[in-house]
Amino acid sequence: MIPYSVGIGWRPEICGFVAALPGLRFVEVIAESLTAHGPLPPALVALRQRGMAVIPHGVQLSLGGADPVAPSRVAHLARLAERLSAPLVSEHIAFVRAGGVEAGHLLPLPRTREAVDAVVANVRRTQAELPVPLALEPIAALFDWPDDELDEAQFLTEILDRTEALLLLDLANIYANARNRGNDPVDLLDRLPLDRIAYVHVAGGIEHDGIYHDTHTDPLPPAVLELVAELCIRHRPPALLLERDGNYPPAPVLRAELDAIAAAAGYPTIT
Amino acid sequence: MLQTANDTWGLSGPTFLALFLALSALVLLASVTHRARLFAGRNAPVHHRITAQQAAHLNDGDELALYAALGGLRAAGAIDVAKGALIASGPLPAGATRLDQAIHEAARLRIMSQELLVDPGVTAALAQLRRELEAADLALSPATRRVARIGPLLLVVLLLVGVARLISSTDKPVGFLLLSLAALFVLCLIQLMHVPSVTCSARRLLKELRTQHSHLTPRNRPAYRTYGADLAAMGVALFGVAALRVLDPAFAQTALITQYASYSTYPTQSSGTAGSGGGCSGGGGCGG
Repeated sequence: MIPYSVGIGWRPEICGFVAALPGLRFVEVIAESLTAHGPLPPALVALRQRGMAVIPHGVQLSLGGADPVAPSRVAHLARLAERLSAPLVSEHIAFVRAGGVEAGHLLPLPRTREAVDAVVANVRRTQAELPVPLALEPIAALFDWPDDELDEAQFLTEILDRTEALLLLDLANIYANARNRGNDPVDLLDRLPLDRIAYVHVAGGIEHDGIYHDTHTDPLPPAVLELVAELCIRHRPPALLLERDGNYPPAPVLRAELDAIAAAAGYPTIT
Repeated sequence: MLQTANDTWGLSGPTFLALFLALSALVLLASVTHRARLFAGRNAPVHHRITAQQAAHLNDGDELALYAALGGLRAAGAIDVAKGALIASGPLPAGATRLDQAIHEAARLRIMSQELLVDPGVTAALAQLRRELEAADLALSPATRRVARIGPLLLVVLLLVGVARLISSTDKPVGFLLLSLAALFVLCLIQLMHVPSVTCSARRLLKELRTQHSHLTPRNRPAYRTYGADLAAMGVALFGVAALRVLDPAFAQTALITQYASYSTYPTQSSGTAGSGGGCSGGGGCGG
C-alpha cells in the first residue's frame, strides 16, 4: 500500500531536493525513463533503501489504443514493479499511437462503449502480467469527440468496474477539463467512485488565450488546492502527489506547494 | 670477495651491484616516505566545510575556480553576458567571496571573459584562494612541490653513477647492472613526473563532496533554480563546465574560455592543471 501522505514525482533534475524532504514516504517515477534490466538511478535506489515507496507511472502503454498493448511494454512495467518492490503501478486512460504512428502525446478517447471495451481488454491484458495492482488515470483533454455515448463519470466508472482497477485521480486534469468546458469540477467528484482512488495527482498549469493548460511546469493554482479540499471532504484519498515536470522553481516555492497540498488534505507536512 | 686489478673503480661487479642496489633502495624508501608525508595533508577529519570555489580549485585549478564563481554569480542573478562581455545584472549575493567581488567588479566594467584570468582583482583573489588551500594543507605550495623532487633527484644522481660505471665497465658482464638501471630510471621518472598539486586529504574531500552532491551530475540536468546559487557553484566545482552549460547554455557559451570551451564532461583529477597527477602513488597511497 502507498503510505498515507503527500509525495512528489521523482525526476533526475530535482532528485537532490526530493531526497532531502524529511517526511517523504512515497514518490512516483516515469516508467519509460528507467531501464527494466540496466542499472537504476543511484538516487532512486537510495530512496528505496530508505524504505520509500516508488510507483512506476507509465505514459506510453496506450491502454486506449485499438490495438492490443505491446507485450514488451507491459513486461517493462512489470519488471520495474518487481525491481522497485512497488505497491502498484499506474497508467493513463488514453492512446499514444495508432496505425503505427506515435503521437508523442496522451490523446483522449471517444467516450463510447466500443472505447470502453478496447480499454477494458487492454487493461486486463496488462493486469494479467503485472505482479501488483494497476491504477488508471483519466487525462486532461482540450476537446471531446463528437460521438460520445457516456459522460466522463460513466466512462470511468464502467472501466473501473469491469477491470477492478484502481483510480489515479488527477485533480489538475479534472480542474483543466471542467474549466475549459465550463463545468463544475466538484460535480464530477460527486459522481466518481472515490473509494477506488489509489492516489491523487496535483499539478500546476496556466491559461493561454482562454484555455487552461495542465502544464506541470507552472505554479499550483489555488483552485486545484480547493479541489483537494473538496475531495477530502467527500473521501480522503490515501495519498496525494505533486507532479512537476520542468521549469522547476526555487526550493522554498516547491516546498510551499507540498505544504499547501498537505494542509488542504489534512496530512502532515513532509518538508 | 677478492679484489683484482681488473676491477672497475677497484670494486668487483657483484660488490658494486650490491652496494648500488642497497643505496638505491635506501634512497627510494626515504623518498617514498618523505613524499608520503608531504602529500598526505592533515590526518584530522577532512570533512570540514570548504567553499565551492575552493573545491573547484582543488579539482582543477584557477580556471575552474573562476567558473565555479561565475556559475554561482549567474545563478544568483548577479552577472550575465551581453555582446560577448560579462555584465553585472544584479547585486552581489550575501556571503560573496573576494573572487565573487572581483568578478562582479570586472563585470560592472563589462570585461570580456577571456580577460578575466589577467584581471588584477581576479588574479589577486585566485592567489589568495591558493594560499588558503595551502594553509589548510589541502593544496601543495610550489615550495613543497620543489622539496618533493629532492628524493627523485637523488635517484638521478645514483642513476648517473650507475651509468658511469656501465660506461667504464668495458668487456665485462653488465646485464644485472643494466636491468637495475632501467628499473631505477622508471622509478625515478615516475617520482619526478608525479608531483601532485593537491594533498591526499584534498582528494578524499573531493571524493566525499562528489558523493554528497552526486545529484548535481550534469547527466541529471540539475534544476539549479531549485538548488540555488551555492549548489550551482558546487556543481561546476565538482563536475566541471558541463554543469555551467546546464545552468545557462547561452551564458556558458560566452563565459567559457581556453581549453574548457571544448569540454563536454567534467574533468578528472588526472587532467588537472599545475602538474597534478592522479592518485597519490609514490607517496604511500591515499588510504581510500
